[in-house]
Amino acid sequence: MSIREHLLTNRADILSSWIGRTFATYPADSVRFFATRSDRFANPVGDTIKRGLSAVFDSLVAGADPERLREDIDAVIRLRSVQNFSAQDAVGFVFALKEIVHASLNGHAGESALREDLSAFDRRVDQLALLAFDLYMSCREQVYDIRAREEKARSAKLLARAHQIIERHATGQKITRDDITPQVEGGERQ
Amino acid sequence: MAGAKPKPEKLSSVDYHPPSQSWMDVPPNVRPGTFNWAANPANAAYLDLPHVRKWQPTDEDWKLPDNWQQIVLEGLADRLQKYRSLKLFMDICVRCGACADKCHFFLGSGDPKNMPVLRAELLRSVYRRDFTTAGKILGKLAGARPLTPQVIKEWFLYFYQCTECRRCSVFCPYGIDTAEITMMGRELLNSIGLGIDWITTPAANCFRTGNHLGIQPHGFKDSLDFAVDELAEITGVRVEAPINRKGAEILFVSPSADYFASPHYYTLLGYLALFHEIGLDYTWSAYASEGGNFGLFHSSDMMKRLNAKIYAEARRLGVKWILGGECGHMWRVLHQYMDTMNGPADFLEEPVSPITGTKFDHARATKMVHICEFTSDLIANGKLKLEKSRNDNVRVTFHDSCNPARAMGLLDEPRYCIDHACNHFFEMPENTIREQTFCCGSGSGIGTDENFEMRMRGGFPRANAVKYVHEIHGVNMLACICAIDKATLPPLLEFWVPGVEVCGVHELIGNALVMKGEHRVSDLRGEPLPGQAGADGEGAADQPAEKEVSKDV
Ligand code: SF4
Ligand code: SF4
Repeated sequence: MSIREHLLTNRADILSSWIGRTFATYPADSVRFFATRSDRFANPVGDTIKRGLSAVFDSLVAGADPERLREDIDAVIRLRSVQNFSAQDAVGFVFALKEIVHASLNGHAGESALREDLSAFDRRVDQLALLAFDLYMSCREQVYDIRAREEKARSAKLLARAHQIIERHATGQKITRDDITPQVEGGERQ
Repeated sequence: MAGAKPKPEKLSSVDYHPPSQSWMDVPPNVRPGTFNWAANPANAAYLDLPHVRKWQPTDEDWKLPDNWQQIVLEGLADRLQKYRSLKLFMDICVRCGACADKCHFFLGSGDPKNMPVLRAELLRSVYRRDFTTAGKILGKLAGARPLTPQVIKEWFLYFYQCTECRRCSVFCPYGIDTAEITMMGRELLNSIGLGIDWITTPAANCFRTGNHLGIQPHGFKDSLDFAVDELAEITGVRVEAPINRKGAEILFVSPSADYFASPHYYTLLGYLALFHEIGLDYTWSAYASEGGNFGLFHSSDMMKRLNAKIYAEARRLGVKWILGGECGHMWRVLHQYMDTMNGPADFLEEPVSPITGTKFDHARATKMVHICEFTSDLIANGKLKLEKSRNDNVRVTFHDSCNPARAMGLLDEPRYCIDHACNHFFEMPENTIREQTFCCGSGSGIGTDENFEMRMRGGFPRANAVKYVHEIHGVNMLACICAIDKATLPPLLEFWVPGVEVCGVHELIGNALVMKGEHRVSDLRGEPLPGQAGADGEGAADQPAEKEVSKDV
């Protein structure tokens, strides 16, 4: 029996352990809800994690390419990148899969027939963790980028008006008193 | 390992339930990205707020006034007497948990203190200790706790992690409205100088100039003139935007973001086109130049102060009634409070549409009509020529903004407008719309950039439903009727569902509206106009509508 066969045969158990371990990174009172409520709109976090990890697991077993893995894990990492986690806690759940798979082999992990197969699997999980960390970083960057840009949209038309005045000045057109009187006083926010 | 039967680790053997901890023992966490900056002292002083000082949530010492406990407890006692509802809410919750999983902040964060029942407990625990016999004797056993600086920090964080959206109250068998508890919590915080800047500064600006950004009357006029010019460029039709015109029949009030922010601005163009086309006798006011009311998020006194300008201007200008634009919380204020707060507006008349003759008798008390009610009445009476195919570049879904939907019951009119303005309209799943709509996560004055992470968490349930219709129906436009939504949904969607933009209902109307003498090649955003009729009126006006409203998800 290969690792692949083992993973396929025991998909449900391994997967639910992995999902359970991921849920366990949230406060106890929330875990019950995330784990049990099945409506995907009433429980979007629980659903995103279940759906995302299932897809990742299947892609790992099928030997999918990194691009596919990245797509599969995006929603889960995106979510955790804005929740109350440090960087290592946000992506740490990936490593739990190794532990779970090792434990599921029930002492057979050291058998020579499996050893190589298993370390190849471990490497795949490590790669997945690196991918997850990359994604985490890009989500954080995106957060800062969107934050910086949203302020502009909030006064987009005032800015456009200011540019119009500058242009008129540059082309030598007359500028009236109204154009240059500060039109906004006080705060800079909407 | 033939024959070996590996026994997979069973779910039951995994550490599935992390150790449970009483919520009272979990200290508040002032994490960057999840709280709002303190009020700017100059603006707080401008509003005569008490205990103005320089402090920030990240400081260890919040420099509370010496007698802060006395102020808070007396303030609570005062409000328990003044508001029967608060007293009831404090006493009748049976902790059934029906509301627990209904708050978008809980759903997106997994933080138990964001369960509405626990959010209310933050205040109730103090109430129990100081106002109930059991709490006085049994203390923590009865769920009571003393008012400490730690408790105040927790209040500050969690009463500003509630958007006062009232979704939880829809599910409470006793009708307990956690939003009102949050409002009381915020009032008490403000009584010891713990306000946030994004509420205080717009409120101060609004008090000074009539709008959140502090735009002065000539700036306001300039903004509208600019919009009139742009609309003329797009449509070939020059409209008027009358300001402070005495004797006009109707006063129009919209959120100020409509004339300075994007994508709100396209909705403004939509209003201007519509009013011109039907020949409405109306005026803007340079003083009531803001529909929004950040006082609602501060205290009932502040709400009243800021709201007063609407009736004052209606009186000064001598209009008959008031029409209101696409704003969210403005409608909560006027639907629930305006009449008793600053009314009765007996100098106004019961609103009647001058175009159709329809009496808006539901607005008999406030004298103020929502633009979606007004426009859907125009459509129903065949007063508008709408060319749906001009919106064929968008596949639209509708986000019910919390206040018009839950506080006002405005559910069908915006849908009716959208349905008549475009061919491709798809509903999000049933438990995420109408009364059960999910908040944008940024309402009630907490849509700041420093609070961005919390907003992404709180808005996740909304975005998750948008993602669904984006994936199955190719939805690329989220329509809404709230200025805060228009500001905060675009970044939310950019993060969770790239490829979906945000617009106002009257932007869709403005695009579809066939105007006399128009010549259009672009839509209100300056993009090529699909199926455009051209100056000669040719086009796909008579195509049958493709009905795609799907509600069966
Ligand atoms: S639903 Fe109402 S009664 Fe039940 S826990 Fe929530 S607030 Fe209390
Ligand atoms: S009012 Fe809205 S934000 Fe506040 S607790 Fe209820 S559901 Fe949550």
